[in-house]
Amino acid sequence: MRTHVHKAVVQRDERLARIRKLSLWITGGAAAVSLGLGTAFAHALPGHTATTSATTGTAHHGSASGSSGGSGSGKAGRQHRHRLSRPAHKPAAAQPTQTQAPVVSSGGS
Amino acid sequence: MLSSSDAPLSIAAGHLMASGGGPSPLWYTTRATGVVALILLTLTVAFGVAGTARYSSEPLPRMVSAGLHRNLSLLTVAFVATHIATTLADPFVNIGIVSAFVPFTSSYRPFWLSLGTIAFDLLLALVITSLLRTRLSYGAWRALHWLAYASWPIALWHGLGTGTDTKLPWMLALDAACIVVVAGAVWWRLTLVDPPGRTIGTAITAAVVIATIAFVAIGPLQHGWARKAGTPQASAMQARVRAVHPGSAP
Repeated sequence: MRTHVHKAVVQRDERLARIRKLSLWITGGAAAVSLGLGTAFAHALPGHTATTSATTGTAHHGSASGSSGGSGSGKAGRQHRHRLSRPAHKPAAAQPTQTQAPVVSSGGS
Repeated sequence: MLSSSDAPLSIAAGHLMASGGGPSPLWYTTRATGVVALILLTLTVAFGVAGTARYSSEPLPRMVSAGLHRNLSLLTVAFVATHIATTLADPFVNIGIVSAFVPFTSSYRPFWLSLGTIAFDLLLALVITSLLRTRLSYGAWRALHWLAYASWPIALWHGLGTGTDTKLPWMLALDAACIVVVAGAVWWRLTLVDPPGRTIGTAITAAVVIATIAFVAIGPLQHGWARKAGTPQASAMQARVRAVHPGSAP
């Protein structure tokens, strides 16, 4: 009788430990997935690369088409190129520097 | 994709970026915790269905599945609470704390947001009554627990109707997987009941699944869904600015 009770207690403890272990794994997994998704949302949203393309210029564009392997990886490649085509800033800020009068050097004949 | 009418958007985004607005971690957390909460709720329902059918096997004895069901439901509430807290804290949409508990009080996508509110209220009722189960009659607790079957599709429709990522292929695949898990569990459970109940249950389950698929096809996947869903003009502008320039969180 005592052996039977002892066996039941051991089995109950083992199952409780399994519940705890699985629950911890699921909690950790859920937290990790949540963190990963949050990070992915922050970095992979349409237009995010467009904001950085203002500084990287066409080099980023080239790497995008290069990673798609010429014919591209289908939709993803097209979306990536589409994102990069959007302006990150209004061009008005860059124009005045281009239209400034040329600086004439004192040299020449 | 970006039409000529989006030109002011670029200017608006430029202003927002120039004003020092950065990415909003709260917004990303809201979306991430919403997705994870749906997965957890799906698992909770699946374990709950297995429990009602007294499912037991060597790797998953009944005691373990019941314990996991209880812990998963608490974890789901924790993630939903985080989802709500970050939504309230994020200045992107103006949602008051009352709207988190009382449905149809929000100006932002009132119907679809209220579905989330109702699902949360149901979930709270389920968890509180389960924690107080010893003080309730079994019949009352069991009747309240049937609300779990309503809570899951309501939460799913909330996500489909107002989720930012509904159109993304992986999100559609995830929603489909959740539907398959719950519908499969319910269908398996229904095979164990008598024919009248089985017929009614199968019909309701099939109707929910078909209605969900039809809704996704004619609703969120269609162009202009944000406006139809009840997004205020200012928020729609911000959302479009954000889609083009995520770094410009208002």
